Amino acid sequence: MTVVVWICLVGLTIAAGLCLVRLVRGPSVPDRIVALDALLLVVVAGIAVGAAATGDGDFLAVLVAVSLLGFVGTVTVARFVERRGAA
Amino acid sequence: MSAVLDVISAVLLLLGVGFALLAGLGLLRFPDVFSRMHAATKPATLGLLCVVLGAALQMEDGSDAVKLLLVGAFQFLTAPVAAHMIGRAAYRSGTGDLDALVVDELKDVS
Amino acid sequence: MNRLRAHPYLVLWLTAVWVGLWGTVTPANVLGGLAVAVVLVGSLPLNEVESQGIVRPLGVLRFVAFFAKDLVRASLQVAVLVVRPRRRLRQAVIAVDVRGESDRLLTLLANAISLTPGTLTLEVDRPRSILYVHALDVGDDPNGVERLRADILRVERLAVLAIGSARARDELAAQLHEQTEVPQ
Repeated sequence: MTVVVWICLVGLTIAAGLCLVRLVRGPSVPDRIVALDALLLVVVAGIAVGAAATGDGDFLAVLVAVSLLGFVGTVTVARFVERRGAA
Repeated sequence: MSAVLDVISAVLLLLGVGFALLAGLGLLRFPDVFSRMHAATKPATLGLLCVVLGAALQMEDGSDAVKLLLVGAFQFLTAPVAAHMIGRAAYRSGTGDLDALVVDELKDVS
Repeated sequence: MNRLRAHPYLVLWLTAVWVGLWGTVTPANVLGGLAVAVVLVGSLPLNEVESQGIVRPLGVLRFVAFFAKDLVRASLQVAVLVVRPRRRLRQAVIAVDVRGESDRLLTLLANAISLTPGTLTLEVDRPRSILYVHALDVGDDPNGVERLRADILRVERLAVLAIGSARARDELAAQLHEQTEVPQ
């Protein structure tokens, strides 16, 4: 199991890195929202893997809150873009 | 029994990470907002679902597993709404390569 | 009070989430959750959802089974597109006419389409029950657009059978009847 966890963490780190590249490069705001959204999902997955590795569930309630807040943030910025344009 | 669960859980975790990598790769390689969104948001969501299921199998405490499943359930409910909102915003604000569309049956209406 | 009566399942769901977050099923947790749920649902305005549709358990099961299969198939397709050498994607926005005018059916379909990799609901025309769907790649085949439309209409058919109103279902039955009578 330890090997699996390490593979997962390395894989998720690479995935997060790829999301970060897109986040920095943009070029438009929607591009960045998409990248940020994916990055958040990767981070949440990382915390879940961590919890599975240690068997420690203390962070899981936070996880629920973070994933829901991510949704609210995404929708908010999407509405903002709709009104103000994506420059 | 626990060995079987371990294997299932490991497979789910690895599958989930595979999806996440796919999402990252698609995000980097695809040419415009819409294609990136297809590549990123949904595989990442499915990946998270797999990871969460795999992690839930590893938890000794039942309540921790329930919390993980809640994360998955919320993601399942919110991901399509978020994707729709971003997509609509991108289309309405004219981001993305709209000229590259093979067919655009929305253009004639809006 | 009316709001509470209109959303009994929402109260149940919120209570379940509350209990799930606390982690243990104790009388205090259940009652606390129920209290929070009642206050939330009772005090916040929510749109009424029309309830003309009939939920058919067997239809729902078939819909879920098909959707799960579709999810796997679509994920593999998008995976291939991502790792394949660079090629021009043939993206498209197509209109899909949904039978009946049930908000619930429209929402279910829009969400199912958006959740499936490769397709995304861009815009919803509620009065006319039309979904505008963005597709990642319709393929080189000139029939790709129509094939995609047929795929989505198949999901729509299953959705109508699962939760559609009686009228939408009759409409569907009549159409299928026509098709079988006039073989092509």
